[in-house]
Amino acid sequence: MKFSNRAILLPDIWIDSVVGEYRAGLGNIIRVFYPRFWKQSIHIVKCLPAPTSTSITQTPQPPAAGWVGTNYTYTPSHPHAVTALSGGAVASYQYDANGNTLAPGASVGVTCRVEMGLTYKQTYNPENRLSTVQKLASGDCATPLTYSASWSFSYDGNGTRVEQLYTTYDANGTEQSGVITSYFTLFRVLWAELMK
Amino acid sequence: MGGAYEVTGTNIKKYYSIAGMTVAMKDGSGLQYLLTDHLGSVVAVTDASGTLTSQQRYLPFGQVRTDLNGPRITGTDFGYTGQRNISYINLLDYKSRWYDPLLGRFISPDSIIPDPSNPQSINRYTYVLNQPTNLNDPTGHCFSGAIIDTVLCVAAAAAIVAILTSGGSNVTPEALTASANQQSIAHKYETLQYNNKITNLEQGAKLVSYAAKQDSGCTSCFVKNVGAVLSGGSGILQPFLVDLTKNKSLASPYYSQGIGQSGFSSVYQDPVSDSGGGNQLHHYWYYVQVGYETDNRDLGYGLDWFHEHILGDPKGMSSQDLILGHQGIDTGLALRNGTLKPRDVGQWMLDTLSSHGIMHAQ
Repeated sequence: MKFSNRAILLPDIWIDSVVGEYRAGLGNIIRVFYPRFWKQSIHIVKCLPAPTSTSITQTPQPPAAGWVGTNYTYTPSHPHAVTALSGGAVASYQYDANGNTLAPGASVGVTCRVEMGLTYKQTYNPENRLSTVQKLASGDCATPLTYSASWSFSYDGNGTRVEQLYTTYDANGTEQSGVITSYFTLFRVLWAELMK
Repeated sequence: MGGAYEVTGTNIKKYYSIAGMTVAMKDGSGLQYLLTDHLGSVVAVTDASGTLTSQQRYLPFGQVRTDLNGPRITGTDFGYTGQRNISYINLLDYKSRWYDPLLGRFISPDSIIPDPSNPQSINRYTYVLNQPTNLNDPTGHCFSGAIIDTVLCVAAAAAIVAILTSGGSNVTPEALTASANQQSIAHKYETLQYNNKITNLEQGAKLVSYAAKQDSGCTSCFVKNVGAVLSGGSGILQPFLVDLTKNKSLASPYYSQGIGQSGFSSVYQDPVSDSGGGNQLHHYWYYVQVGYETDNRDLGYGLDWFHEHILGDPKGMSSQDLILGHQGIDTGLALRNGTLKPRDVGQWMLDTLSSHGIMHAQ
């Protein structure tokens, strides 16, 4: 018996419609275009001209009619680290001192995300796993004032996420009691059965 | 996907998988089926009777689309490409790293460069080579084709092996589903040889167990058959992951050629199109190659050729024959049918190797 849980999707070929522009030398996304109207019956895949500029930050261009474009901005000193999105999506990103991808063995990543008006402050554990994410209600990452929610993650020795603590805050910014979710991987269950 | 069981207070969710796909879940509201698209993204949920209860679609880089009618999926956090999504913080858990679907990139760099021969992979924040509509990334370390019959995924072999062998802890199926190409494995061979050892029976049995389970119900999933293998070294068992899809291009398609891999593996054999055999749909082996400790530079050659080198006799028996006495297929089938327990096979392997003076239980 051939088994599949794959859904049959109705003809909605939006997935063919994304157009990205990538910088050949660095593999960076420069722009991503999505069609503005997903259910239009005809999708046209646009062929964008190859980028001619050699600077790290591309000059934003207005998206074609019917498309939503998001521009990616990089910093010259850290050529792989996106610092901002503009256009369709608006965001900014800060990296810690180890986020420089040119320094081997010392990489952590984004420590502050501001996406579509929401600010997330992130910390990592010594193994570079995301440790906490705090959603700010007021203030910024440098000087957070109050939080609206926070998440803490625990990992086992394999780096598998095994526990999550979700904490909410009331309107005054006072921490409420947290909710813990524990995760058990498939193999642990199987192995327990096997060893019976 | 992964994860079989999750507990929040008194709320328990159980997930059910077939051949590595999570297909159903059960919580307080009963059994529900999860339907996926070509990338493994959960796009629809039905109740136990098959009635659609909720659905969603994704933008190419994983944001949930907002233009569909009807309720969104809320009963499970498995979403885009079958990874857990914490929508409140706009991050997806790709196991080794977290991914930001708005950004279309990981929020922290890969700890390895999975394929040094591909300049794209040097950008360590990039998600699936910026080809999100036809590739996915099961582990956060690699990229693999979902539709196409070619595995582009170059696994983080060293990282996975480190996971497998970290003291006494469990092997996760997720870690094993990543596949690896020979070149990459061969490249990392020396590191693996001395630094990563499986020294106990349970670890070995786990790998075999998982390899057996991978194949259940699979009649054409060549791509998804990733053999978890054990290789005989000097007194140790070594785990490798083998991409069996590589076999397809070989002259002997019914051989599980690879990296000098050993252990249990299975190969799908198309009785019509495969030349050089094709007498059965599945071909199972459980075998151990010996002596590649001195032959590591030969990794990546055909199995026949490799055998010759192992035994020092180009026309002699293969190591497979030597160890198993042609019982590999039977063993594989027995594993698959459940009449043979993986732990017994593990013991048998140790015994066999010990009797040949190759390996000793520790």
